[in-house]
Amino acid sequence: MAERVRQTRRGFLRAGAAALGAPLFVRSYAHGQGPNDRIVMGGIGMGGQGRGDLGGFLGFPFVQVVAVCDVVGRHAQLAKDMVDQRYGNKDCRVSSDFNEITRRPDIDAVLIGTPDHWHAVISIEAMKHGQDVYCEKPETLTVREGRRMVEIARQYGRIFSGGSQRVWGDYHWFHQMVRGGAIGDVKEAWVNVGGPSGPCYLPPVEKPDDVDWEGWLGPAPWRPYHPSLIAGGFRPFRDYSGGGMTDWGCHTFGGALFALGLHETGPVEIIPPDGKDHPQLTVRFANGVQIYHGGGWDGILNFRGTEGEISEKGDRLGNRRSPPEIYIPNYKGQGGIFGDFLHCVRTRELPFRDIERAHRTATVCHLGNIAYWLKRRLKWDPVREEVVGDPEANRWLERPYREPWYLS
Amino acid sequence: MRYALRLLLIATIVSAGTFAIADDAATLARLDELLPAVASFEHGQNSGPLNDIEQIVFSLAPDSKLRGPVEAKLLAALQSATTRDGRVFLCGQLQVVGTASSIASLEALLTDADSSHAARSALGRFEFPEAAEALHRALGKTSGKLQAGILHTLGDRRHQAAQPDCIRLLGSADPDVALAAARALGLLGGEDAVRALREARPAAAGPLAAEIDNGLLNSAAQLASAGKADEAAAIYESFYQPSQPRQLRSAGLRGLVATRPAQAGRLLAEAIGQEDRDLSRYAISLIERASGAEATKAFVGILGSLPAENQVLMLRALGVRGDSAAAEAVAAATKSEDQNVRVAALEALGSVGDPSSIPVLIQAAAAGGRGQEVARRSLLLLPGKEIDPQLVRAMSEGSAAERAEAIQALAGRGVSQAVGRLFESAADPEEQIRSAAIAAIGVLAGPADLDRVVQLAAAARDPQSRAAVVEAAGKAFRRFADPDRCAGAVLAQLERGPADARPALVRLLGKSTADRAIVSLRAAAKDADPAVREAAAQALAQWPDARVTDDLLVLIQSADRQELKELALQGYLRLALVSDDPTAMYLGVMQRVTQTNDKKLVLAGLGQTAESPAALQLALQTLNDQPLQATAGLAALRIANRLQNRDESLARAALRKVLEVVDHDDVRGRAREVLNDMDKYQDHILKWVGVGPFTEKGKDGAAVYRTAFAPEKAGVEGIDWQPITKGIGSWDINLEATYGGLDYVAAYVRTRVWSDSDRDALLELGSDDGVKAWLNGRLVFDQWNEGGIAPRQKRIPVKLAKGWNDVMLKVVDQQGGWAFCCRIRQPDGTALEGMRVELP
Repeated sequence: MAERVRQTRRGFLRAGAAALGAPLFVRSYAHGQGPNDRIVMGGIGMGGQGRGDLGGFLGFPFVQVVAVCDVVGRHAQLAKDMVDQRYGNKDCRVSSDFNEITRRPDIDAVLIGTPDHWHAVISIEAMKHGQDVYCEKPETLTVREGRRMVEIARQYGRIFSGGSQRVWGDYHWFHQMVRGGAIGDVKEAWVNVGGPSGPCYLPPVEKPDDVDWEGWLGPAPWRPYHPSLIAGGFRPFRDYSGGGMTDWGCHTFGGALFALGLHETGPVEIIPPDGKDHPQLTVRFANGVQIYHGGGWDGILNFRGTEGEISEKGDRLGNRRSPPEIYIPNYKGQGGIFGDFLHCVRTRELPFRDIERAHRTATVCHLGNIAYWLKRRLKWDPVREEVVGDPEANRWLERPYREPWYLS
Repeated sequence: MRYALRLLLIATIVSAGTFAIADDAATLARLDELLPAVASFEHGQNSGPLNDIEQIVFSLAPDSKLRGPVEAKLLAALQSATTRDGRVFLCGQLQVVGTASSIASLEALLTDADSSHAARSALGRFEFPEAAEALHRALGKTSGKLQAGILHTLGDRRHQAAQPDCIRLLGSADPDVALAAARALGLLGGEDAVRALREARPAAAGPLAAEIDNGLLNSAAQLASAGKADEAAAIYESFYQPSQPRQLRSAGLRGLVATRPAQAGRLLAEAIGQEDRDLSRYAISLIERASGAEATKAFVGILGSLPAENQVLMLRALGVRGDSAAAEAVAAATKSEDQNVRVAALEALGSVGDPSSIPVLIQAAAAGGRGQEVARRSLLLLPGKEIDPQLVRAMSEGSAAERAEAIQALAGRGVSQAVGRLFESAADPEEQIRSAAIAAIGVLAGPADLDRVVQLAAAARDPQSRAAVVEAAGKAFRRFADPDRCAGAVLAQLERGPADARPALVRLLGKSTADRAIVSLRAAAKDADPAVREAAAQALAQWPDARVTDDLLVLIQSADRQELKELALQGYLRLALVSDDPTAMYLGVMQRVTQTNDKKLVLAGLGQTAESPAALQLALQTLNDQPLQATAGLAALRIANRLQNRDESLARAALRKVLEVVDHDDVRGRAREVLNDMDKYQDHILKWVGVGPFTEKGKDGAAVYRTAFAPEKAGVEGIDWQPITKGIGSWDINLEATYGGLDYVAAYVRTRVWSDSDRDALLELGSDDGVKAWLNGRLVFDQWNEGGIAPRQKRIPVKLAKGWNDVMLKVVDQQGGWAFCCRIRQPDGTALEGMRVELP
C-alpha cells in the first residue's frame, strides 16, 4: 500500500495538480480499506439538475463530496453551500475549471450535470484520469462522441453511468409486460417526447461578472452571452443539445428500447414524417420492430402487441394489470440509479445505464434529429454506426470542436 | 416558440409540403431575396431570413438539381459577408450541402480567428480528400489555438500525410499545439508515430503526458487490429506496471489479455489476487475475455481464497463466462457460509451448471429466502439436453415443495414431454404438487391433450382446484386456437360428467369463445341449478366480445339474483366501452336497469364515451331524477363538450339546461366552464391605440419585458398613441402587421371600457409571447412567459369602476410571432352585458 501511495503522489505531481493547491490525498476507494469505505466525489456543472443530483449523492453516508465546479459563480456557490451544510464544515472546494476536479487523484468519481455539449469532453477527461463518471442525460451530443466514450470507459476500466433514472424507475412495468409476453409479440411502440433542436440567434446580452462565458461555451461554436442559456434554456438549440428529442428522448426511447431488448443495438432505417405513409418519424429495426416518435393513444410511451396494447394507464380500458413475474436485471445495490452507480464504483460491474446503452439510446435520438433536419430517410448500419449511402448525412455524426477542445 | 412545439411544426411543414421545391426558379429567387440579410447579420437581429434559408438548404434532396446553384449562391454570399455571425451561418449551410467547390472559400477562412472554427467544422466533415488537404495546407499558416484545432481535425480525419508535421509539432512550445499533435499521432498510428510519442513522453508532464499515454494506447489498439500483436503487447506491457496510475494499469492489463491470449488466464488470476481492489475487480470483469480450460482452472483455483465480496463478483463473472468446467467449484460455493456468495453461486449455476446442479438448485428454490428466486431462474437457464429428462425424474423425488419446484421449472422451460406426468401429478394428494401441475398443464398442454384438460376440470373437487383448472384450461384453449373443438370437448363432458362438475365446466365453456358455447351458456343461464346459473352469468360477463350483448341484457333484466344482474351489467358496460356504437348500448341497457346505482354506472359510462344527440337526450331526461342528477349532469356536459363541433346549438342548449336544473356546484361549475370555452373567441376587444416598437440593445424579450418604457412610467406625456388598423383578426391583433416582424421587442396598446357600475370582472388575455396589463393605471398582471397565443391564457380577476376604465397592455415578443387578444367577462367567465368599448 505504501508503494501505491508514493506512486500515486508522483503521478499527481506529474499531472501538475499540485499547483492547484489540492490536498495530496490518494483515492480512498482504490484501496478498499479506506475510512468508512468512502467514495470521494466531485461535482461538475452545478445548475439546477446538477444540484438535484448532488443532493442525491450527498444522501449516501459513504459518499464524500470534496469539490464542486461551475462556470456560473452563483451555481457553484449554491452547490458548495449544500455540501458544506451536509458535512457541517467549509471544506468543499469551488472552481470554474473542471480540470481542477478531473485531475485530482483523490477523487474517485465525478457527477457531471453540465449542458449536453460538455458531457463527452469532461467525461473522457475524468475517465482518462482514472475517475468514474455519473453523467446526466443526454449523455452525448453526437453519435461519434458516444462511441468514443464507450471506448475510453472500456480502455481505462472506468465505470460510466448515464443519468436516466426513468428507464427503469418509471418504465419497469412496461418492461415486465413487454418482455414477459403479456401483450404477445410486440412490434410497435410510440414515444411522445419533444422535437428536435434548431439554430440559436438569441441577442447578445451584457455578461455578469460571475459567469465564465468562454467556459460555458467550451467546445461549442462561439456566440455572445445570453442569460437564458446558462439558466437551463439551452435545449432548443442545436449547438448545445438535441432538443426534446434527446432530452426526454433519452429517457423514453431508452425505455422503449430496453423493453424491446433493442438497447444494445441500433435501428436500420429512420423515416421522417411524410404526411402520408409515415405520419410520425419512424425508427425501424432489423427484426421488424418500429418505434414512432409521437402518435400513440395515451401518455408518453405506448406499446402494441399481438395480444394487446398498453400505455401507462394500462390497456385501452384503463386496466393496469399486474405484470408477469419475470426477473429483469436492473439496478444493483440500494438507492436507485445513484446507488447502482456507487455499487458499481465499488464492484467494477457495469451499471444499469452503462455508456454502451446510453450511447445506443442517444444514437436513436440523434438519428431522429438528423432525419428531421434533412427531411429524408436514413439507412443506418448499426454495426459500423454510419448512414449507408448518404455521406452528407454522415456529416452530422460528429462535430469538430472549437479550438482548443478535443476528445481524447 | 419553444422546442416542445417544434415537433408539431415540423410534422405540419412536412405534411403540408410547404417546403417542397415545386418551382426551382422561385426557390432560387427566394434565396436571392433572403441572402442579403445574412451579409451583415448579427445575433439579435431579425433571424427570419436565416431560418428560411436553412429550410431551403436543409430540404435539398441529395439528387436535387438545385444543389449547384444553391451552393454557388451561398459561396457568393460568403464572399460578401461582413460580419462574423453572417460568415459562421453560411459556413454552417455549406457544411450541409457543400461540395469540393466550397473547399477553397472555406480554406481561406481557416486562418481567420473569428471564422476558423466554422470553416473547419465544414471542411472537417466533408467526405472529400481535398478537404483534408486544405486543412493540412492551413497548418503551416496558423499557430496557437487555430493550429491546434486544425491538428485535431486532421487527426480525426486520419490524414496520414500530416504525420511528419504532427511529429514536428509534438515539440511545439505551445501546449495546445503539442497536445493536439500528440493526440493526432495517436489517431494516425504507425511505427513512426509510436516512436515519436515514446521519445516525447519522458519530458512531458501534465495534460501532454496524459495525452501521449492515450495516444500510445490508441496506437497499440491499431497495431493489434492490424495483426501486430507483439508490438501492441509491448506498449501494453509498459502500462501494466505497478508504477502506473490505476487507469493506465487497467488499460495495459486489458490490452495484454487481448494480445496475449495464451497468458490471459494467468495474468488475470494474478491481477485478481492483488491488493489494489480497483485493479482486482477490474480484472474480474475481464475474465470473460479469457477463454479455455486453462483459464477456467486458474480462475476457480483462486476462487476460495478471495474475500467474500470478490467471490461474489468472481462467481457472477464465471456465470457470464459460461464455461461448465467451473460447475463443480461453483456448486461448492453454494455451501459457503456467506449468504451473498451462496446466492451468487446459485445464479452462476444457471449458466455453468450441469445435471448435477439440479438437486442443488431445487433444494435452494424449495427452501425459500433470498436464494429462491435466483435458484428458480437458474433452473430455467441450465444448459444442456440432459437437463429436461433429469427434471422430469425430479418430479417424483424429494419433498412436496421440491417436487413442485421441479414441475414449475419444467413449465418455465417449456418441456411439453412432461405433460403426461403432469396429469398424474394433478391428482397428487399434496395440494402444493396439484397446484403446480395444474398451472403447468395450462402452459404445456397441446391440442392432443384437450380431452384430458377438460376431464381435469370435471374431476376437480374443491373450489380452489376448480378455479385453478378453469384458469389453466382457458390459457390452454387460447393457445389451441380452435374454439369450436374446445367447446365441443367441454359440451361432451357436460353431458356425461358428474352433476357437481357442471358449474366448473360451464365456466370453462366460456373460455372457448366458440359460437356454440354461447348457445349453451344461454341455456345454462336458465338451468335449475343455481350454481350452474351463476357460472353461466360469470362466463357471459367475462366473454371477450359483443356476441353476448343481448344475453347480458336478458340477464340484467331477468336474472333471479341481484348480484347476477350486477355481474352482467359490469360485463355489458365493459363491452360498451370498446363498442363501435356505445350510445346504442347505453340506451339499450338504461331501460332495463332499475337500481339507482346501476343507473349511475350506465350514466357514467355514457358520459365517458358517447357523443350522439340521443345519448345527450338520455342524460338530460334523467336530470330531474334527483338521486341521479349529479351523475346525469356530468354525463350531459361531457357529451355536450364532445358534441360541440358537430352541433354547437344543441351542445349549448344542453349546457344551459344543466345550469338551469342541476343544483350541484361542482357540476354547474364544469358546465359553465365548457360554455365559456365554447365562447372563447367571442367578445374580444378589437379597438386599440398603440405605440412601439420598443427594444433595448443587447436585451432579449424577457429583459425587454422587465424594462419600463415611457408608456408605463408615471407622468410621461406626449406619447404618440396611434389607432391600430392592421393585423386585426376576428379575435386577435397581430402586432407584426403594424410594427414589423421584429424579435425581442415590445409595444403598448390601450383602450377603454364602459361599465354601468362598480363591479367585479375577469380580464382574459392571450399573447405571443409575454403580456403585462394595467387597469386604470394599476398593474394587474406581470408574469413573463414565452409561447404562442390562444384565447383565455390568463384570467385575471379585476374590479371595474363605474364609467370608463382605461386598459393598457404591454405585449413583448421573444422570437417568432407577436400578437395578443383581450376581453372582459363576468367573474364566472360568462358574457358581460352592456359593455362598451371605444378608443381613448
